Amino acid sequence: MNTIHIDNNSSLTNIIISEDTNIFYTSTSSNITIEILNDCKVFEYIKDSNIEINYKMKSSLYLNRFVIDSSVKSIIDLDKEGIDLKYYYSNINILDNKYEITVNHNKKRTTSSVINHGINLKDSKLDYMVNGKVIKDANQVICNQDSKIILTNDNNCLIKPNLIIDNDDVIANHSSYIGYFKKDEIFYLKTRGINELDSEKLLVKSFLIGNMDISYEIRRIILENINSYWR
Amino acid sequence: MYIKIKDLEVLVNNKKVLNKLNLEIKPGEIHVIMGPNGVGKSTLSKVLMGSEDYKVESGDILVDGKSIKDLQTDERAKLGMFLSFQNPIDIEGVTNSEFLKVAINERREEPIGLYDFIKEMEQSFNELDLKKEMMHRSVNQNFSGGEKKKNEILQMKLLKPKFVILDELDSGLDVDSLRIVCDNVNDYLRTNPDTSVLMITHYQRILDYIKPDYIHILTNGRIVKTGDVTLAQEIEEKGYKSFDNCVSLVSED
Repeated sequence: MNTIHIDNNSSLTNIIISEDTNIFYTSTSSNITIEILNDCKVFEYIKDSNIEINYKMKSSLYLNRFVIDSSVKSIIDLDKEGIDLKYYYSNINILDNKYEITVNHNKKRTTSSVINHGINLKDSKLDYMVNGKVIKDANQVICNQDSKIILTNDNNCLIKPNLIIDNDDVIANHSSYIGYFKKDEIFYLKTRGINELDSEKLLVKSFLIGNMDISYEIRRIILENINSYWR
Repeated sequence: MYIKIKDLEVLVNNKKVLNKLNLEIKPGEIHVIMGPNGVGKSTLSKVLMGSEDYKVESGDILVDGKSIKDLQTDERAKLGMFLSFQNPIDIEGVTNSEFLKVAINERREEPIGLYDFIKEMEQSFNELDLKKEMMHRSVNQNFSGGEKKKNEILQMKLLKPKFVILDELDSGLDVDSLRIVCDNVNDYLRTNPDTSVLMITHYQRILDYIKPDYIHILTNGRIVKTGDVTLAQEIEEKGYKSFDNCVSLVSED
C-alpha cells in the first residue's frame, strides 16, 4: 500500500498508480493527473482544498474519496475495453463549494457506478454537477450515478445530473436527492432508546462511509473527522 | 410495568383517530387489541412511543403512575417501552450490530464489553434461527418479511423492555417463523414475568401461540368491547361489523 501526501508546497502534477494507494490532499490548489495501470483501490482524503484531479484509466479502479470543505473537479476517462469504475464520494461541507465529476466512457463494455453523498452543514451553498458521457463507438456500456445531499438547515444546494449518451446500446441511470434524514429512520432509532443526536450521528456515519470499502485505519481517520464536525 | 391510558384523544391531519380511549395493562398482563383496518390500532402503538406525527389533543398516558406525555421517544424507550413495528424500515449503511450496541450502551453506565455483546447476539440469533452474517448487514435491508419480524424480536431480547407493543407481529410470517417468533416472546415473558404486553392483530392465529389475558375490540378510535380469548372466536365467526353498535367504554374516573 502506497501513501502520498500533497499540500501547497507540493509540485507533483502526474502520478502513475499500479497498486492500492492512499492519497492525502491538504490545503492545496493542485491540478493532478493520475494514470491507473493495474486493477487497484485508491482512497483520497481531500481537506480545505480547491483542486482538479483527473484520472486516465487503463485498468479497473475502485475509488473512495472523502472530502471536507473543498471544491473538487474531476474527469475520469475509461480508456480500455471492459474496465470498470466503482466510485464513492463522501463530503462534509461548511463553506460555499462546488463539485464536478465527469466520467467518460471512451471504450466498449465499460461500466461505471458513481455514488455521491454529501452533508451540508450551516447555511452554505453546495453544488454538484455529475456528468456521464458515452461516445458513439462505446457500446454495451453501463453508466450509473446516484447523488444525495443531506441538509442540516435550510441550505441552498443544487445537483445537476447529466447523461450524454451517443450510442444506442447503453444502460444509464441517474437519481438525485436533496433533503433531510428520513424522519421515520430517526424515529425507529429513537424507539430503541438512541437519542436524537446519536441517531443522527449513526445515520451520518452510515451515509458517509457505509458504502466505502476502506481499511480500519482510514475508517478511524474519517470517524475522527465526522465526530469533530457533527454538532 | 403498569400502563394506564386515560381518555386519550389523538388527531391526525385534524381528524380524530383515537377518541377518549381508555386502557389499563397491569404488570405481567397480555392485552390484545383487534379491529378492522384504519381504526387506530397502529396509531395507538406509535402514540405510546411518542411519535411526533400524531397530536395528543387530550388525555394522558401513565407509566407506573407517572405521566409520559412530555417524554421524547428515546426517553420512553429507556424507561422500558418497546415497539415491534408492523413494517420495520430499512436503514441502509447502519449495521445491526452497530445499532444494537449503541442502543444497549444508552442504557448502561459503562459500555458493554465486546465479548459479552457478541455472545448475547449470537445466542439470540440462534434462538431465532437467523443467519449470523445478518449481524453485519444493514438494518432490515434485503431481509425477508419474516426476517424483519425476527429482527424486531431479536432487538426486544437484547434491550430487555418491561412493556412490549407487538404491532401485527403475525403479518407476513409463515407458520414456522410465527412459531419461532412466538416461542421467543413466550420465553422472554417467562424469564421476565412482570413484563406487560400490548398485542395488535387482525387474526386469531397468533393467539394460539401467545395466550392473552384480555382482548379488546377497537372501532372508531375507542375500545367498544373487552373479553377473554373467546371474544376472538366471536370475531372470527361474526366479523367486526357485529360490534358496530356496542356502547363505547368510558373512563371510570
